Amino acid sequence: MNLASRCRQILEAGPIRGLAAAVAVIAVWELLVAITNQPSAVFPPPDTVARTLQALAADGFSNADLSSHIGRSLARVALGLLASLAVGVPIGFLMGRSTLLRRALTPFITLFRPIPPFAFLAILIVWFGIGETSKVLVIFLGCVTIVALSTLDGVLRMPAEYREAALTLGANRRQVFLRVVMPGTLPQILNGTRVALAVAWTALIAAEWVGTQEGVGAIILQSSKFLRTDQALAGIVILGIFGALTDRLIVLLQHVSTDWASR
Amino acid sequence: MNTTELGTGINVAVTAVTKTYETKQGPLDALRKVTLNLAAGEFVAVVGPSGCGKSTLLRLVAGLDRPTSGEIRIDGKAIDGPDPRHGVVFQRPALFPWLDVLGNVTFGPRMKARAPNKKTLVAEAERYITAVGLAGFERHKIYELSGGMMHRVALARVLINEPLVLLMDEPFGALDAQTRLVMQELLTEIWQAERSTVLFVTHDVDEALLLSDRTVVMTARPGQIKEIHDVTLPRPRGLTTLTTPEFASLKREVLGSIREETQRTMSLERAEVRAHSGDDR
Amino acid sequence: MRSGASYEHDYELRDKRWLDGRAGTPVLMLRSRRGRLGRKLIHAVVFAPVTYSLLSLLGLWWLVAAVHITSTDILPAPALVAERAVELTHSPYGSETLFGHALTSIVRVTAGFASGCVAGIAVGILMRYVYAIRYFADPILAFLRPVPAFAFVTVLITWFGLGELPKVMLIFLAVFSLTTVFTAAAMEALPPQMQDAARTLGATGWRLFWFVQVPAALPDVLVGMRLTLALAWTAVMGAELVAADSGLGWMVWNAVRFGQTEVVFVAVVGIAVIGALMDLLLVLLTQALTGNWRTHMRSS
Repeated sequence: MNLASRCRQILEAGPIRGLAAAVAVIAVWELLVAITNQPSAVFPPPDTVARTLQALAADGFSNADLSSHIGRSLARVALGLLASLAVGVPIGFLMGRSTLLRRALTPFITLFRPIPPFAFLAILIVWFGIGETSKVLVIFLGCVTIVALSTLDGVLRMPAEYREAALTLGANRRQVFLRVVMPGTLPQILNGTRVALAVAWTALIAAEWVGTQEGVGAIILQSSKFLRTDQALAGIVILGIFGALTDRLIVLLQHVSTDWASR
Repeated sequence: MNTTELGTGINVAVTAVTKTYETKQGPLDALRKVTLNLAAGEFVAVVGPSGCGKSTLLRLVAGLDRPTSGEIRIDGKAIDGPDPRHGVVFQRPALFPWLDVLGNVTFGPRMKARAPNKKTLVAEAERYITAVGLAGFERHKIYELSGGMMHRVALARVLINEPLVLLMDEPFGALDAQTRLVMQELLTEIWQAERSTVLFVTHDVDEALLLSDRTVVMTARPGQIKEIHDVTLPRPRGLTTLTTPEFASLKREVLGSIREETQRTMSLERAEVRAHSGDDR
Repeated sequence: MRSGASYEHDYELRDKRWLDGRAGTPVLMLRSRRGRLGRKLIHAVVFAPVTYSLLSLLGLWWLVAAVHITSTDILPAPALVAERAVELTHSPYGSETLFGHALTSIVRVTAGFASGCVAGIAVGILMRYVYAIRYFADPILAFLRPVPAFAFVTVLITWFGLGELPKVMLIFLAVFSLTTVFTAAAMEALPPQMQDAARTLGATGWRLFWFVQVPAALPDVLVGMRLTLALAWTAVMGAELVAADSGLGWMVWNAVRFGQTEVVFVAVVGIAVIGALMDLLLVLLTQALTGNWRTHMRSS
């Protein structure tokens, strides 16, 4: 193997690419700071943000540890997302099974799906106030239609031969559901969960924007109010890290449980 | 009909079966008044132009669809949905990609109310996996297999249920000629050992004549039985059979008869597509 | 290794839309169908199942409000909301009437959505052809994908002030990254043998791109655009929450603050209706451009 292809192989490795991309982003950032020549309070350079991040980790933010802020946000996302799975997956299966139900529910879902979580949030605040209920519910409402639709998609997309083969091999209706429909739709359900996760983070930030002292969204908002742009950017970085981590988690789950689907 | 031949298979009686589908253009007969009897242990092939309802016929016998009128009896009993003793091999192998080879082959027995214990199950599966020539591939994922291997697994998955009737819907249609020949030999071998009754749908006349005791030619839609040819070529049949004059004359006969039907099918299709796109405008 | 290819429904069906011989240039197709677009729109609105679901939803709302389970402050009757909506069409709420606010939001969404799509599609296409861009863009997009654009709102305001620019940029950000991901994936989706077929038939250079790559990627890109349109509406509500004195989003938040429940409902319903109409427009555009390939894919 010659040197060039060897180098290329090393450069193509996932972590190296990630690192290279990070270096590129920081370089462009530095360059922009140098060109625009704004005060640090308005456009802080990367190292300032890094130091702020360090300070946040050490001292916390407004009388709470950084970990408890992150924990709060993660708990809200997890609760909302799990609730949407618990409701959306059965709805998707039922819609896949009954044409009548599919015809009846699809219009409602099409109607609700594009409504921004903020719109839900406004009405939820009117109804439930600005407590945890509204926050988790807005995540739930944003995710549940996505989960239901992707489950339905999985059921409809599955080749009819799977079901028929199982029936002719002696499976009854219950077995067809448990042994064929469920494993067969898992890839689509996980795909939907991944899309829903991105929506959940958006809904979370929206929810934390309105009247809360705890959570990553609150850090970003409060920092901006006091023109601590560095701290707001640090908050966004934290959000990015945990957003990407949770996303990777689902991708990992996809690889482990449904490796056959990607072939 | 020769019913004296002994076999573990059972007889299949299709009597005056009509299948009508409701379409936007009105009702459409896929099959009209089809009557066909298969003796126990007999191998019957069905050939005909595409869309002539031969797959529909097979689905009805499999219990996957119900006839609009007429009745189908297997071993004297009217059929009532799919049954593991009536094995079906589909055109696409339809293996479950989330299971490995062993998982697919043991699927049928695991569906029983009282599933056999794991050890006997695996031993049983081993036997059929070996029979189709895939020993050593038990733990392979489906997507790691070649097309021919997938069809072998599909066959083993059905055979483990010890079917009395085997219903095969163009099972080797997607395979290349060489692989198909090997699969045909494998099927003949298994059929001669098990002697189950086989209903075999294909569009390949060579295949039909090479495998079957009788070959049924169907008409263009609505599917009716046009002719039934007794295939008296001596068994065991193989490559050399394909070059005998008996085979050639039989083949000429059958091909000629299908050709007429194919031409009718094509003009039918042209008329339909024209009508359909006229609707669209 | 693609031995399992025959299994992939989608893959196989994807080929089918090519078989029906309608894979001409997208632009020409739009022209030949233009006359029917208006009629199609009316037809789609009148007969859409969405219309029925809207009516039944309205009925349910009316019923719940009528039996007075909840107070008017929580759930105002539809008639009350409608009355208020009619009133707001001529007497201004804040700086503008209902129509003025709606128009403001529509302009913001359209500007951000259009610029985000153009930039996203451009980068997505470049990712297919330029290795260096793909090299850096892949990990950056993987990182950005789950990050809500809305998180940038205050930073954008700090940088670009309170005018229209930060609002449009926020929408742009929300649309851009996902559009790039979709486009890049759609460009990869062309089955290799289809590309080979085109090349053996004599397609090279820009022709290969325009007559084969573009129509092959188009359905997926258009479906992605429907998703990002919803994101654009989310973003505009976010932008109007933080710093604005106009727009439907501003109406919602101002009304929440002052407890004007009917106005909240007027604005939220307005957003839902306009969002649905824009979505419908995109669906019709998809049908005009791809000649129902997608529905063919499903039904076959």
